[in-house]
Formats: sequence, C-alpha cells, structure tokens
Amino acid sequence: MTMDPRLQAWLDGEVGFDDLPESLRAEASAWTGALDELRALPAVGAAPGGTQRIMQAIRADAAARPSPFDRLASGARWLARPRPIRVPPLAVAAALALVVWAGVRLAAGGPGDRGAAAEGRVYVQFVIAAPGARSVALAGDFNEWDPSIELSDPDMDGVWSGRVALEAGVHEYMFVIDGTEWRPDPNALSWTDDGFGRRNSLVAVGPLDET
Amino acid sequence: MTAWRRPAWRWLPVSILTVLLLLPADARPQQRLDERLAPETVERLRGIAARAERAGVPPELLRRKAIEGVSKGVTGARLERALEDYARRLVAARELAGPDAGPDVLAAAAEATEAGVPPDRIRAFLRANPNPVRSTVGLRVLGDLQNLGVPPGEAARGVNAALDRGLRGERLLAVSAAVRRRVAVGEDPSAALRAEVDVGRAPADGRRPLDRPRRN
Repeated sequence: MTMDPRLQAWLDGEVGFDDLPESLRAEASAWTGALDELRALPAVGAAPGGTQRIMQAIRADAAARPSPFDRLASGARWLARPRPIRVPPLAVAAALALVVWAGVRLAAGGPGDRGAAAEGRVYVQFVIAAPGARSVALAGDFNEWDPSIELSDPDMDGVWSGRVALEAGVHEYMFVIDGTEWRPDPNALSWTDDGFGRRNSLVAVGPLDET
Repeated sequence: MTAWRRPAWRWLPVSILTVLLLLPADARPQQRLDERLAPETVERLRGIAARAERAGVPPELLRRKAIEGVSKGVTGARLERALEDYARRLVAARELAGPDAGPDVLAAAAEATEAGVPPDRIRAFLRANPNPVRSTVGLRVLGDLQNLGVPPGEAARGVNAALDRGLRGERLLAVSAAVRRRVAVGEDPSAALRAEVDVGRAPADGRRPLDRPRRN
C-alpha cells in the first residue's frame, strides 16, 4: 500500500494541514490521532549499565571462542585419542573383502583388467574375424587358459576385439568361439605346437623401454 | 546365543569371508584340474611334475600345461602323455639353459629344441643373450627359422643381427613371419632371412654386428 506523497509531505512537516486537499484531510486527521496515542505511551529507557553489560558479554564470548589453530589441535587430539568403536562384524568383513579384492586385482594385475594402469605391462589388441559367432573369448598362459576375457563386436560386423595388458615376454593364446571351439589366431606372427594336437598363437611383448 | 556373544565367534564371518575371497586367486585353476580329472590322473600328473622338479624343472610349468590341456578338453591318458613329453623336453632344456634360467626361458628353450635347433646353438644363443625377455623371444624366432629351413648357424646370426638392430618383442617375432611369407612364395630361406635382417651390415653405432656377447 503506498501513501499519497502529499500526505507524506504533511507528515514530514514539509507542508501545512491547510495545504492538503480536502480529500486527504480526513486521513491526515486519523494520522494525527494515532500519533497522539503513541506520544501518550510511557517512555522506556535502557536499564542502568545495560550497554556495558552487553559489551562485556560480547567480549567474553569472543575470548572464549577457539582460534582456528585450537580447533585443528582439538581435531588432532580427537583423532589420536583411542576410543571404543562399535562396528558390526559384517561391516568389517565387507570392508576387508573390499581391501582384499582390490589387493588381489592389483597384485594379479588381471590381464582382463582393461581399466588398470598396468605398470610394466603393455596393452595388446587382439582381433579375430568370427562372423556368426555368439561369443568370442581369449585364453592364454597369461590367464591360466581360462576363456574369461571376452572380446566384443560392438558394430556387429563379425570382427571381435579386445585389449589386454601383458607382461614382457612371449605369450601363447587361442580364441574360444561360442565357448567350445578353440581357434588359433590366423593373424599371429607365429604359432607353436601345444602338445595336444592344436597350435597356440604367439604374441611377443618387448620391455616397455625397448618397444 | 551365549556362544555367539563370545568375541571369537563374532569374528567367524569375517574369517570365512576373507578366506573365500582369497581362494579364487590361486585355487580356481587347481579347482579346474580337480573337477575335470580323475583323482588317479591328478596323482600321476603330480608324479610327473615331481620327477621333473628333481631335475630342476619348476613344477609351475607342468601345472600350467596341465591346466591348458584340461581347459581345452584334454583329459586322461592323452593329457598324461602330453605332460610326460613336455616334462622330458623341459628337463633337456634345463641342461642346456643352466640352473639360473627362469621358467619362460626354459619353456622357450624346450620349444627351440622341439623345432630342431641344435643344443650347442641354443646354449651359445643363451650365453650371448642373458636378458630373459630377449632370449625368450629370440629362441622362439630361432625355432621358427629352423622350421622354415634356415640352417641353424645362419638363423642364430640372423636373430643376433636383428637384436643388434634393436628389434624387440613383436618386431623381432615379425622377422620369422616375414621370412615365412618370402619362403611361401618360393624364396630361399637363407636369402629370405638375409633380406629381412640384412645380416652383415654394421649397425648404426658401428659395433661389430654378429656373434658377440651382448650386455643386456
């Protein structure tokens, strides 16, 4: 709600009552009554010494508040202080499992672990054309001949591929088509008799500083 | 309920879970052997590995070969025969490679022997190339070249020349692949190898190229 500026000017003492138009005089009289009532209220002052007491309290509060260094030291003490912690054994087991799993993954450096930054290893791309295959896996001496490294054919053109981190040296491997058919890599640079009537493909990886 | 409240019992699930988690890392391949082979076959394979171990062959090599066979569906007497044969070759390779050779070098030496590379050539090659990674790849290439009909002396000189020129890993293995392609179109094996590694040409740093020990 906005006040008429002429009424505001009268309240501010800038114009006299008579200067107001007739239409505003009733409202101006109402304001005069309200102001008279306010003036009739008893005066309230600050309690003796109140300001001083308030300032003292503020200063005391500021002095009692710890500095950032104190907070840091207190945090360190809290961390260092031995205290009993109640943890369900299952939670401990889960945490241990996570740590062991991560450790085993790192230590084994699973060749199928495509995301790992394989230190001392070289990523090798394996590719085979197997049109019509439902699945193609890779097995070799680098994964205990377990056909667990699955190759993918995202564009469904029958060319399957996958990337594996291998240690320096010579590795023997084969592709496993649809989980049953063991097939050598026709594009390998060399093959060797596997002793079971098949040929293993060979891949050679030089040391990182020499490749 | 009272027993469960004892601290020792409370940690039982932790222990069980931890053991279960640790198992797959080592036990899975062995599990494959135990599941797919008759106990007596497993026992005989252990016997083969133990005999080979007494001759200085790491049992790990034979265990790995057994797992490979089982993964490929080979079982029973056929697996045993293959393992016996492999163990025999590894024992011979141990004599050639000496007591310090690691499992990979041993396996590569066994393959080279099988390919028909003369023992003295293998021994000389290993002396000249003590680096296990280089010698492992080199021995495989030596075996390949032998199979392709390159005379052993020339093959050894060719591989040493390739190593001198800095060929490692896949690039070294590519030498035998290239020779194979040339031989397939009727080229003489020795000439094909010479063409690939340019045997006799001095390497860029002017070192003497052939048949000399390398510091690895």
